[in-house]
Amino acid sequence: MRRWLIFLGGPLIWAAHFLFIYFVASVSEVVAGETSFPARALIVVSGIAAAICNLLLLFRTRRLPGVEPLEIFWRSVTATGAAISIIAIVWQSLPAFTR
Amino acid sequence: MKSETGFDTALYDRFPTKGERPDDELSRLEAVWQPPRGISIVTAINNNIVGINYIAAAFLFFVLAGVLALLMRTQLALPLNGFLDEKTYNQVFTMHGTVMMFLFAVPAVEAIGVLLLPQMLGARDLPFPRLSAYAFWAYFIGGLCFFCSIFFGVAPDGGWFMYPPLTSSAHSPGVNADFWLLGIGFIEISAIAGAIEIIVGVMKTRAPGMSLDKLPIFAWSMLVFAVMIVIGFPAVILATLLLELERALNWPFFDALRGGDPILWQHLFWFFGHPDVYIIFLPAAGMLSMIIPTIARTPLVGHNLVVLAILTTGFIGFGVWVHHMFTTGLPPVSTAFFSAAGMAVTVPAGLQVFAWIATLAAGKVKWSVPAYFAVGSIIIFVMGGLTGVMLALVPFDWVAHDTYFVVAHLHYVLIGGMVFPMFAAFYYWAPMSSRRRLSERLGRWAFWLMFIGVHVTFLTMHLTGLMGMPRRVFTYLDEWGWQLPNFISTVGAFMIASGVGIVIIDLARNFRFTMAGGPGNVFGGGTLEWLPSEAYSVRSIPVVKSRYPLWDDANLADDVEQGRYFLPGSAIGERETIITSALRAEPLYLQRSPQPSWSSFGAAVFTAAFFLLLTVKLYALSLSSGAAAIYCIVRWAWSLDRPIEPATADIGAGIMVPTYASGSQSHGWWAMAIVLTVAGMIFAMLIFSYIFLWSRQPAAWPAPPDVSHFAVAAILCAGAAICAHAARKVYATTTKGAAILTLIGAAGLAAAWAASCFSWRSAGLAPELTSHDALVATILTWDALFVATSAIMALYAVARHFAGLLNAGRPATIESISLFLTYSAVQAAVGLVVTRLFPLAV
Repeated sequence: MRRWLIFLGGPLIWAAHFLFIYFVASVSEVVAGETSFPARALIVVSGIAAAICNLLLLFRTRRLPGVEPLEIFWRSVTATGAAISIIAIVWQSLPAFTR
Repeated sequence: MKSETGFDTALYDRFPTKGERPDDELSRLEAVWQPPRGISIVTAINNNIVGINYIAAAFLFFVLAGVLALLMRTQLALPLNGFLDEKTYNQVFTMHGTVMMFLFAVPAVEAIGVLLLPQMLGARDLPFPRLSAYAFWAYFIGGLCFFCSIFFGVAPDGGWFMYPPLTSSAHSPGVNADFWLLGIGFIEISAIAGAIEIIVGVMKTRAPGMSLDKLPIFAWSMLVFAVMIVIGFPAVILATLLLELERALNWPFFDALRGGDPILWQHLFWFFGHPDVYIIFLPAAGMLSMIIPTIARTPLVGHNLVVLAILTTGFIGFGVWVHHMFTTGLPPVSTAFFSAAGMAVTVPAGLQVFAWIATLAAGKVKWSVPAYFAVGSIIIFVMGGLTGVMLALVPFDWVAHDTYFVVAHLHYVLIGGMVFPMFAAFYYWAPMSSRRRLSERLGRWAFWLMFIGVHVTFLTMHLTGLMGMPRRVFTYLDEWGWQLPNFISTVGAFMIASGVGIVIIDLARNFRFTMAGGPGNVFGGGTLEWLPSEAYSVRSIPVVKSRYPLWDDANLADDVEQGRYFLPGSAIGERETIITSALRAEPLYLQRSPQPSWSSFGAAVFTAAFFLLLTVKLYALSLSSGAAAIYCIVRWAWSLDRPIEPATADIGAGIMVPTYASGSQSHGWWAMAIVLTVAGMIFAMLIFSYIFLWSRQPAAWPAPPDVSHFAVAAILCAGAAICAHAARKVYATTTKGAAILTLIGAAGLAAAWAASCFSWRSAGLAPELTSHDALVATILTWDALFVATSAIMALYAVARHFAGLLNAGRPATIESISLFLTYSAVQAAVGLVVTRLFPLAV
């Protein structure tokens, strides 16, 4: 299970962040009637935190074994997934700056 | 080479074996896998028979839904046309969308998976062949009856997404909407059954050596497809359940006057509906990733990136559901999140497109009908993808929403992303299952008619939409200026139909089903499905050393055919396949596959009958059918987990593996875990519904009953979970004790449920008055289903004990029951916490 969590780590962090910011925006709408400044700040901060998590995952993949074809495949997909997810998380957080 | 399971991978070097195989080995293998004859053919479970039947049924529904499209286009060809009246038109467009999405697209790709995966993975069959047969028959019988509703004027008429309040009983009296809500129940069950089969099949039945880096792209796409079904379908299952409860019992989930909200339907429906586009697209893209390397005669460019693209599509696909709800008044920031995700999802799709183009550029394309359809598919899909990005932009969506622009976009995506790949697959893989290949000449005619027809129909339709024509109108006035584009679209639709007609003629002339292989590998494919095959799939299961084993080992086909690899005969004299590990596909144990039986067929017939009779309100007959379905399923299960002799078997070259496994290594445990994931997702969606409706009107949420009942019910749930755990622990020493513990656990669960019901009843629960009470009653009803199933399972364990079928060395049955009981207890406890403590907390 741990191996799969690392393998899918990038998209999983993206998904967790996506659900979190949707939740924050929805709660803010119920409580304040709009996406308030604290909610927007939380969206940005959580985006930075999620991006850092993915960055750490990216560094972690350097320690994965990479000799056999399966290991090379595993490492390559994990690392690329983590890298792309950083961009996706930043992209996904940008609406916090909209009106 | 490293090992995942302790298996000595040096043993692979024993293959291919030398020397002659025993004379009677092949004839015994053939006898074991021989399908039933005569009327009993309906009980056949060989994947090639079920797969072909499944594909034929899906294609039939494609043609029927296509005929409905032609009726619509005929009606719209001229202004104020009287070909169809408005009521019939409503039924026709609803059935067109519903049949295409539920009876054609998802079943078709699932069917192609059932047909291709065992051969592609080098397995004798999928791990649960009777489940595939059950899925097919429930779908086919139920689907035909559902379709026939249109001949009696009672077909659904609320659009394929059935939005309330239009579909509530106030605005849609009669059984039309019920046909949709209950009629697709069996399709949902069928899709989930197929998904279980595919996930376990891809993860556990691969040929030895086929580690995940060597897994064919089609198998990757089918794996993600099946996982998406497990995550996405529960939302629509719950949505249909809630709307049917509202219609039948007046429980107000979507009635704003009583605390409900029709937007809840849209959330639930589109949490399934938008991922469904990727559920359909991914397997089709997987087919293209198999076909294109063959026609270009070079390996797929960017294999690892394509795998990543498939995986990320599986994630982002679930972040796009609000894409369909931009005009519902959601907060701007929330819609912006989904707009961003809608644009982001084009990245993995685009990555696959670039990989295909690069492969075509890197190789030397041999033009054939599959090549035409593959390239045509790329062009159409990219055009649909571009308008998808336009619609992901919120302001543009406000303008184009519910116009023919959207109709044009979705047809480009679905035809390019699924229909054309399917025709490519027909022509590409037909030589595997037919004695004759399909005609190149007819195929090219079909392609050009369909390709030109698609653009004539749908490119024009973009313009019709931008001119302001809304969807779902049965006619229009001459002075509105929509006549010419509509007429052109109608001409195009008939061109597409002509192309499909030519394919039907080609199939009638040339397709002759055979399990013994036809012309064979005519396109020069490099993957295992092109090995010579029979009713038993491949004669022996090869050791896989590369992604394109047939290209890299010229002798492989001959060695496999001569029985020089794993499992050259029947190791224990029964149907069997090798179960391998998830990552490196190392042999774990020999699975005894089931024999054909009437129980799975009967279960399918009665499941379909249950839903259909419920729809037409024949309650007594419906309940009888439900009981008969349960009886068939119990009989089916009764034949499982039987003693196997010997305990170990030679699977080739003297390599011995066990003939039995339990726990997380066994395929049965995986299936139960997936079933519980589906149940968990439905329950999670129910909790989401509870919180969503609270968020609409927080002040209207009443206080829960007093906490003492909560404590009693919670303690009983904990007791049930402890009994389930204990049953598993004591099983090795006392099977009787384990069976009794499951019974006590089920009784505890029933008592917890009764205590909860009593307290809510005392508090005056009235589900027809408020959405809160309706949701609490639904949670209790959902729990009741698990209490009843737990009781049946516990009684089943006791019955097996008295029949002498529980054995300390074979814990699989009790493990599955224990897992189910534990889940049921946890679910009941979460339900208690949410309904009792959440209102207090907020």
